[in-house]
Amino acid sequence: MPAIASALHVQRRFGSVLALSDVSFQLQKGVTGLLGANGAGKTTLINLLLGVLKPHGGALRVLGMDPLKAGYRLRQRIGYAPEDDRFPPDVKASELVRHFAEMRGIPRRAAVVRASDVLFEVGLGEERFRAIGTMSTGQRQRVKLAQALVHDPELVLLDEPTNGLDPIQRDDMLALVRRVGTTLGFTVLISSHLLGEVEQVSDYVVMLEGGRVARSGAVSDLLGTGTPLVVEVVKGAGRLAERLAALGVAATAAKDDLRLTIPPGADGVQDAVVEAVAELGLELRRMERGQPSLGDLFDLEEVER
Amino acid sequence: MSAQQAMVADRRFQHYIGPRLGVLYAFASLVLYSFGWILGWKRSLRYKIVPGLMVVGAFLPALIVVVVAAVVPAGVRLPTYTDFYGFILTAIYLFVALTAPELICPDRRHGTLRMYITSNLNAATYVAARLLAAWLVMAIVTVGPVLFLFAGYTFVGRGAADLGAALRTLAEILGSGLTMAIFFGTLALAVSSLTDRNSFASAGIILGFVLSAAAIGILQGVLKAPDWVTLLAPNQLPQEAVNRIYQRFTTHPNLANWQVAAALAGWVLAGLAVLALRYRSEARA
Repeated sequence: MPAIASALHVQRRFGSVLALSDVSFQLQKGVTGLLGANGAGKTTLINLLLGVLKPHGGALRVLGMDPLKAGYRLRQRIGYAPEDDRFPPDVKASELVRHFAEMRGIPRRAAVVRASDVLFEVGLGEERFRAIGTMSTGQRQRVKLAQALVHDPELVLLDEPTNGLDPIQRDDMLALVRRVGTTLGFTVLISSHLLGEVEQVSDYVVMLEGGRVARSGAVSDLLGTGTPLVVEVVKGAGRLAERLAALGVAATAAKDDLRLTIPPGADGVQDAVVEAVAELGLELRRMERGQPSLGDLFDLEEVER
Repeated sequence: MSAQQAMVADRRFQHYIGPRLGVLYAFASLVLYSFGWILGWKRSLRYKIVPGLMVVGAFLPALIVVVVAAVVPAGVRLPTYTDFYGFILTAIYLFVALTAPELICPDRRHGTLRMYITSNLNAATYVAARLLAAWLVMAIVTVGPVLFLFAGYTFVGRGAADLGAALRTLAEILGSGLTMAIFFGTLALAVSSLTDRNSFASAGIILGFVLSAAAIGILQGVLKAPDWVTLLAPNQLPQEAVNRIYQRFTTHPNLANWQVAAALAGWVLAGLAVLALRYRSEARA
């Protein structure tokens, strides 16, 4: 299947700051989570995909086009919801969504119908004639999502769509994004600095760290088919990981030095762990095989900070 | 309804298969939207009050003059079209100062600018659409009242002597009104582009007119500055141009028409340069 978008050794700097140093990935159909700490380069990468920024190195293709050269022919096939949600307060949701449908080339009459339909799909059917200033943060985020979908784009870029939402609104929004990417059939790139969010909605993940892609791929591939062994000690997870490595068991220690994860597949690994813990004089708090998560595989404390 | 008539309506989300129009369509849509936005169309009452009052303030003198023209004897001199601009110049200043910032400041403040430049438009076409909208809105108060006056004079029998004169007067009205609209609209938008707060932009525009008027007044009055100083006065230059378009008189006979035209063009180009600089960083695609 051809990639919806691809980046090969993409670089972008702002003055002397190298925001993206060497970014390569392929974006497939489905929902992809763009994960990274604040300042990792997520918004920069989205702006590069939109053609709003020029890369200083590498090659970028979106929907088979060069974002810088394709101009509006590409942009009208992309839906974009920026991080800000401070829309003009006195404009009705339906009016704003219709206007941005027209801005992406949808004829007026169709724009009116589609604005209504898409607001219905994001759960604002009853609220569509309300002024945006009277809406809650969650509703405004839905309006923002609606304007990104109204012109039926082939790629939807959502920059931190859960910013400012409480936990319930966040779960609702994530469920909506998931539905947009599955039931409604859009290809979505959702950026977030929260691992849990990305894991909840994404088929694929691209993790940015220090301007580079630290890991990328299908979530299912990254998690593997088996279940990892999670080990918690009172302190010394790093030393335990080193000891296990010496014994031929690969393990990843968390930065908090309390927890390590051993990928599925190794036989007799529990015995090796117990032996290593005893050798190092550590206190074992928990050792169990559980449902794998990206957090168990990646040390993402920094991302969540 | 019988069972045969019944049908299940498909309420699932439909993907769009219709035409996707280009830059020109988005440009025209934004011009139209901006025009309505400034006048408060589809917005709450508070957004209609200020432009409404300004438009009334510009048209009311025309109505009064037409009523006076209808009742005074034929020999009484009526205000000329150039005189009339003097009556409404304050309304024009206020109108441009209060409405132009509304065109671009909120987009920076609310983050919608980024959404525009990721649509069919880019930074250049976005600014061009906003600029054209500013000119059109300004034309409501720079062309509209004078056209109303022209129609009124014609209606009460104090208009042009023949068709040729009427057409010439119409061309003069359009020429002067559009000159003012372009001049004031461009400068006001340029000042507005320097901030994302409407109130700061409005204050800046009004202060610009007031301070430049004061400075030029001192230069011309106390310091006996030469005529060309008028070319530096954004409050005097449009009126001077209007006087010359109507070929009535000039208060600065030492200035040639081309010098006035060049000064007007210079001011407008300076405004465009400010806009270009402000939106340069957005103009990547």
